[in-house]
Amino acid sequence: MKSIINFSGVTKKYPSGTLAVDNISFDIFENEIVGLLGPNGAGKTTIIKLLCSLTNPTEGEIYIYDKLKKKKSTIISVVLEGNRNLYWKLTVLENIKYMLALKGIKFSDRTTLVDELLTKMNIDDKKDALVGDLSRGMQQKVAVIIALIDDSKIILLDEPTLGLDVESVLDIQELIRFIAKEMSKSVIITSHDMRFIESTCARAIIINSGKKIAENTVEEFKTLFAKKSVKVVFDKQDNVEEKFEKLNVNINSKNDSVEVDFSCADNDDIFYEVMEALKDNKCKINDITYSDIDLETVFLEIIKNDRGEK
Amino acid sequence: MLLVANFKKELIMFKRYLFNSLGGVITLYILFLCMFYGYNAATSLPTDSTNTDFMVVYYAFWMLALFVYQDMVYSIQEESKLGTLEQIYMSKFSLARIIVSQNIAKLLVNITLLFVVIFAIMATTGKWLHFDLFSVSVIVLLAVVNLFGIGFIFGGLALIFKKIENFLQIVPYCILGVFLVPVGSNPFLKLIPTAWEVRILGNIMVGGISIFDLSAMDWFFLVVPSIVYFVIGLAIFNKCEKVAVDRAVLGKH
Repeated sequence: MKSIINFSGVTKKYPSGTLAVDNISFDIFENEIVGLLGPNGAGKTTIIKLLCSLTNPTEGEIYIYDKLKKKKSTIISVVLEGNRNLYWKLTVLENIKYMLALKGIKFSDRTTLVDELLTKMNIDDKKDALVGDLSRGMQQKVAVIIALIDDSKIILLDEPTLGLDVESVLDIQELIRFIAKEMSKSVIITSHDMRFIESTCARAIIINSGKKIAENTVEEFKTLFAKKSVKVVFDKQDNVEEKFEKLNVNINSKNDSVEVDFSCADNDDIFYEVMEALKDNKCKINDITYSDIDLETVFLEIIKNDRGEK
Repeated sequence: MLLVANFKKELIMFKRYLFNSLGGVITLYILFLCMFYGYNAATSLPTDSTNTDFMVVYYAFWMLALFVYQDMVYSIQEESKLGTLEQIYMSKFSLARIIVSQNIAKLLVNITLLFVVIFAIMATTGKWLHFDLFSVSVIVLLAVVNLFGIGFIFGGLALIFKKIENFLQIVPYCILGVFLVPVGSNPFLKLIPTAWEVRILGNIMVGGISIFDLSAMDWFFLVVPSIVYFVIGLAIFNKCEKVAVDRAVLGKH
């Protein structure tokens, strides 16, 4: 695959002294959907702003199609977080026409595409409605459509599902897949919605405290952790939880049973220690499973490891 | 294309909020009548005095000046509040060019309204001024270039600091002060922003002169300060834009 964006050793330190992005490097390839994950204040939005020239790196370089980015790039479109991408007092169509003019494109050259996208997003009957009268989900769809109708090759979506209902999230998800597959554009998404990222993105980059701490395909992330995550369920006994507290496990005590979760990511010793504790206490084991892992669990594990938490 | 798009946007907004738009026109008209008759009552001047002729001109010019620099600052603040400032920044044009384009569009609408108000004022007061459209347009254009420079300075500050209303409050009074500057006593006073334009405009609309009657020195003091203030304002705006981008505060409000 060809690299469209090369983020090379980029650091962003704000004049206030805040180090928002600390020596981060990654590549974005053609037609791929990448999730940029991280807790609040990790530096995700700053990375988005660096990519679309809303701020400049303090150190490092950003290359687009192997060329050093020195000014605004017209091949990048962005839908920023929240409903701050549109003029609320203009209609959907008026917004589209005005934003196209700002990009130096005639509306008449994009009429078919606009109609197609409005229909695809089920808002073709809303094109004469004021944006301020639309639901949050519809506003988000309009913002995404505007980002799509120019000649950009990369779409940046900052928290695209924030505040949306389930149906709108699914619509946005479908649109993002359409963007990558049918419109041959790359998409970078920042989101706290791990299910959304898991089901939409092929690859994820995890950021914490301004640093990149992991980068892999979503499937690889899950495989890596799923193999090593074990859950044991056994009958509850008096004070049995105390026996496990000294071990590095999560204990979930219920009415009749106890669940013990643990990760064998670093070594298998913990598995034998748990089994020994169960044997010593003559616990009746009800179930042992490799627990089903999702991206959210992976994300939390990685962030905890990065913070040095057990 | 950019100017046409902005002009269409302004017309849409004017029509969509027609009640408010007309309210602005009526307010301008009533405010002038209050000032006109109040001034005459206070000074006991006859209403056919030349002073009151100049008053019409100065009032119109004052409004024009307020439109230019206030619109520039308010449009930046409005875009910043909406979040659209970041979107327009990312367009293929420079931010300054888009802001100028937006404000020219606003100004075209406002000047049209101002003409309506001036004609209404002239009809009401019976004081018909000379209206050499070409001469008036040229002087107004030079004044607008001058005022855009001032607007750029405040607009640039608004990009960084967002709320600058307390500083803006003084500007209308400064503009009124400009009308009182004795430009004839010292040529350097003609370098004060719009000081010379407003005098020439008065001479055209009250005295009945044409721009073809102006001397080379008159043109020097009309053209050079306008260009210099515009360039200085633009340079400050661009510098402020760079600071706002470095701080990533374009979209913050």
